[in-house]
Amino acid sequence: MGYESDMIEIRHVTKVFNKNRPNEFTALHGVSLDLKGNRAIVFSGPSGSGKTTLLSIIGGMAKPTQGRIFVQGEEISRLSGRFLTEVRRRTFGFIFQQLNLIRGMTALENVMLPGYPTGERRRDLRKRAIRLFETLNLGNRAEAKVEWLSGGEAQRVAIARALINDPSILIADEPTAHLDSKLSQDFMGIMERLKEGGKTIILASHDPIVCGSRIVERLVRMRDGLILGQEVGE
Amino acid sequence: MILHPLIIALVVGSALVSLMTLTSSWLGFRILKCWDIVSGSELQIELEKKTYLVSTLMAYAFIFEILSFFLFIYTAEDLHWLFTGAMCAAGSLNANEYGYRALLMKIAAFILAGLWLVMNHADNRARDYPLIKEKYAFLLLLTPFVLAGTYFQGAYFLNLRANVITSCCGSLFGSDHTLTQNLMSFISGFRVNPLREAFYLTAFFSMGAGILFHRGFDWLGSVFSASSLTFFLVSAVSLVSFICLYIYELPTHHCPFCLLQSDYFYIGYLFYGSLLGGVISGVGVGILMPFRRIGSLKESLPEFQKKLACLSAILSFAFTALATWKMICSNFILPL
Repeated sequence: MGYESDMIEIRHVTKVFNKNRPNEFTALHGVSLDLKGNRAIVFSGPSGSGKTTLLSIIGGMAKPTQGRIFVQGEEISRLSGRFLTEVRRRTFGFIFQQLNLIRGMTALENVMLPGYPTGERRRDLRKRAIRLFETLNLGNRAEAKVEWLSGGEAQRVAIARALINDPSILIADEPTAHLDSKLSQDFMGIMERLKEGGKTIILASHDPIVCGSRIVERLVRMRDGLILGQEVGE
Repeated sequence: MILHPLIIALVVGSALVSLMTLTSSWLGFRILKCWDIVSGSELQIELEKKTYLVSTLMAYAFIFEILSFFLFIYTAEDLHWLFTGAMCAAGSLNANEYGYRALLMKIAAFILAGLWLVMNHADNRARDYPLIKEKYAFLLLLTPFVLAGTYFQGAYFLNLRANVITSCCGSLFGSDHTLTQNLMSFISGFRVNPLREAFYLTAFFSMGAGILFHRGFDWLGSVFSASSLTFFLVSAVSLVSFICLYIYELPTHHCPFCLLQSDYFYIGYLFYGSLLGGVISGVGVGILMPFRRIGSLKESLPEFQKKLACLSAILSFAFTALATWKMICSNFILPL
């Protein structure tokens, strides 16, 4: 995975919610940023600083009100829903703050779910999901319903689900918000392995364990929808 | 107004389609004026977001518009027993001055809506909205026909009075009441033999050009499109002039509506469906020809055009085969 091939370019992105209504709110103010591939980047800042909105826009889950986003040279902000879904499925893996695992289904079924629309054979998908479970030390929990899992296990299932389509960019929003410090460090260990495997990791967090992790090469500080500053590591 | 369920469905459905078309036309006007794909402005992003939603909704609205044409003629046919003198939809449509106007507008809207769907499908194959301006310019052209169709259809149904004495198709196509009926009388008077030769010649030419285009003779695209349109016109004339005589087995009955009755196994729907479907897909190939050089359409457009050509050739063949079969199996012998 080359540095240039995964480059994300954010150009003058503004996001306004509830436009022209009494509760209008500007979450991002003309943000511009270039992110190189195969790196670990953390967006840090207090609640309401625009981290989650920016992650959603980078990942093609929301459209900017103004500005453009280029991912691997392709402008994703102007793609229609049909093509955007294709790019999202191929390029991004998401780990949500609330994990968003589907209760009533097993861990394995949850992980296989994003692979169904790709048309891949169930048998191959299942093999890949089991391999991911083994990599993430979840081998014996594949058939367990997600509501039976501990917090750390549930998060690893969410990571496996994000990786099932082998995306080149992994996005995680406040991934350690509900974890204790040991599990948070375990999470960053997994991220380190994934980065070594060629993935680009983009995180939003204000957890010192995440922000201060040795794998983080770039820390972008945000407040009130603006980029306040950046720290670039080694 | 006669409160028939089909009438209510048509009036409400067409009113909704007209409202959607008008709203979309406003977006089309803004797109034609302000669209700038390289800009990241708020207006441009808003237009990009809206066009995806609007074109999806309009695709469904126009599918309804196409289907509503068949529902309209079915309803006109179904109502004929209410009017003294009417034997089929020809009589029902003649029950007031708006009937035939509504029919003509519905046919025009049917064909134009079909062509818009073709353009929309081609545009949606590419990521950079290559036909967006052309698509919305075409929508602006189509809007008056949809609105006129809705107006005349509404006026027709609202002014239907069950006590009206109308005329049967036999007398309608022999008299000179209106322009439409004059046209039908004119068509009925064509000499059969040259017309029959023209019918088979254009069918052969249209299907041949379609097959060759499908096989990779890309330069034949416009020729195929023109031949498909010619076949449509010649076939429509032939249907009224001599094909229907074999079906009715009557030497003077040229009604294009009795074909829609159960007595004739609703064969008219097959004739009109194949004819209109054939001309939309055939002409669709032609209107897409100028866009084959656009970079983002280079791969998808030729494939889509081939599918359209194939569909058009199949429908033309279905029409020709059906007409030929009915003529061969008929007990009627047309005097030469």
